[in-house]
This record gives sequence, structure tokens and C-alpha cells, in this order.
Amino acid sequence: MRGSHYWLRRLDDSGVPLLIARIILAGTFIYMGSMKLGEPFDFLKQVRLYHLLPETPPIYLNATAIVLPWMEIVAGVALLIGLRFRGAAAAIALMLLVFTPAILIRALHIQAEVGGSFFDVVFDCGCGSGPVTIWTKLLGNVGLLTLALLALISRSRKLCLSNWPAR
Amino acid sequence: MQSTKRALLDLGLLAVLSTAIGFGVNAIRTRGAIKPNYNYFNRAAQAPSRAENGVSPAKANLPFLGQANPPMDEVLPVTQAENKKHLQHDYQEIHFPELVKVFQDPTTAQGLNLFVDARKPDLYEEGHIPGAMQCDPYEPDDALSSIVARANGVERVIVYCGGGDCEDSIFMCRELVDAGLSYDSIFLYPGGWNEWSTNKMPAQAGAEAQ
Repeated sequence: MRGSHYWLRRLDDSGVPLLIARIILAGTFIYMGSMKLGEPFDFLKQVRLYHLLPETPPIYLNATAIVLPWMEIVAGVALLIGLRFRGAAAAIALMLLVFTPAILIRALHIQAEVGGSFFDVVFDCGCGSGPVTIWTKLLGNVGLLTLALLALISRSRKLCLSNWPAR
Repeated sequence: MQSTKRALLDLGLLAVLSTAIGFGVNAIRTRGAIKPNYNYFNRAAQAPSRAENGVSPAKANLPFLGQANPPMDEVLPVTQAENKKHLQHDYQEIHFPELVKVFQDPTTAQGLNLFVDARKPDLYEEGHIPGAMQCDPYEPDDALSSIVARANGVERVIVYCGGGDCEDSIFMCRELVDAGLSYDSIFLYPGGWNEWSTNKMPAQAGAEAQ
């Protein structure tokens, strides 16, 4: 009798789940990175509001605002073309693991200050999409993290530039 | 194990590539270039505070004008004060009722009160306080020079941004002090454009007249 692992392996070998994950992650992160590049100072201000980095010396905050949007775009392109995409998926997972709890904490602070339901908390998280309803953003990030982890553990290499010429 | 090692190696490569592209593009872009070593927020080390500058406490030069900003901790509950810490400053504040009087005062028509809009150019063009000059505190450049030249001889330079949690007007005040304007001539309007427009006060649209 074949177990569920067998079917999961078959599904992974088809390359379809990985391809879907790569396309969604690439589209999301290339778009969000580009939006941040358009307004670098808005992004710098938003990064600062998370209090993840010291303001002095300023190089930490400024370098983050300079590099992070490109990190998203480069990771997105790597996932799209399937070249060194596991490193790209790891980078995306890392960014999500840092910023998702930070968004949650900031949302809880805002809720404590303003009052009302957590589901009504709306602010610009600096993610590149403008002001958003935070619980949907957090849910979206969990979905993206799942896709990034899927890309990390998948054994498939179908439709990847790293697999060209096909081996 | 091998694949984990490979993924970490690729992650490092991606980080190096992103850093190189990020700093490279930042160095050549004409608009929105971030100066890596410039402190856009905490300027205590770069600009002396009001007290360090040897300036007396904020004093209104007309009876209806504003007072210095009271310490936030004295007027807000602890949690709220913590969240508003970033809005602390030591500039004179001018609030809506006083600002309306200043705006309607003949001295404004005579050009003795200069309004500075610290919001982004697109927001400024959508609507601003009539006669205000626009200057982005993150990229002041030529606009700051024009404001300093225009501020010569004016009684008050009134700085505003969006209002609420917006800090850009505070940073603009710092730029003006750095550029040589006296603390006593600078007034910060914390209500900002939101309060001004909500109260249906006169507005002007379009880019700044050259």
C-alpha cells in the first residue's frame, strides 16, 4: 500500500507546486521591491518605525533601505528563472520571519493606542502596497512563508534555468 | 546537508549581489538617493538643540502666537507617550486658531510670514497653504536655498507637513536651523495640512511659481 508520502513525492516530482510557488513569490516580491524603489525615503521611514535597527550610526537603517528592495527584486528574478532559487527562497523566508512578527507587534501597539478591534487596524507597513488591513497582510505573509518553505524543500528542478540543459 | 550548504551559499551570493546593485543604483540615481552615513532622524549629534544653541525658551513675538512644545510625558498616558516619542521636538508650536490669525494678519500679505510645506511635491501640487514653499526634508537641495534666501527678513517661518504622526515638518525645522535660520523665527504647525484642509481653509493647487 502506497502512503501519502508517495503521492506527495509524485506531486513534487511533477514540478507543478514548485512552479506555482515560484511564480507567486516572484510576482509578489518583484512588485513590492519595485514599489519600494520608487519611494526610497518612504521605505526608510517605515523601516525606522519598526525599531529593529539603531538610528545611530545611521548606516544600518540607510543600508537596509538601500539594499532590501533590491534583495526582494533579485530574489524574485532568481525564483522566476529558477536559478539559485533555493537561496532566493531562503532570503524571502528570512525576510518574512523578521518582518511578520514586527508587523504584528506594531499592529498590537497601534491597537493598544487607538483601541477597537485588531481586525480594524490599518497602516502602511512599508511592504510596498500602501496602507493595508493588517490581519490580511499577516495572513498573506504566512501564505508566502509557506510557499517559500515549499520552494526550499522541493526536490523538483523542472522548468528551472539551473537545470538547463535538461539533465 | 549538501543542499542546505548550497542554499546558504546561494543566499550569501544573493545578498552580495543585492548589496552591490543597491549601492550602485543609489550612487547614480538623481532622485531619491539615500546618503548612507547621513542621519535623517536622530540629529542630536549633528545639530545643537535649542538649549545647547544658547537660545532662550520659545517666546512668542505676538500675543496670540504659540508656545514651546510641552514634554510629551507630562500630557500623555505612559503607553501613548511611548508611541509618540518620535514626535518630540524643541521648536515653537503654532496651533490652528493662532495660525488662522497669522494667516489673516496683514503681515502675511506683506510677505512677513513664510509658510513651508514639508510634504512631497505631488501632495503639495494637489493643495497647499497659499503662498507656501515646498521642500522635502530628505532631499532639500535647491528648495532649501530658496527658502533660506526668502526667509531673510521675515518674522516667522511656519513649517507644516501632513499632520498627525507626520514628522517631516520636525525634520524640516532641523534643516532650516542647520541652514542658519534662528530658532526664534521657526514655528511648527503640528496640525498640518490635514487640519488646515479639514477646516476648509484657503488652499492653492499646482506647482510652486518659479
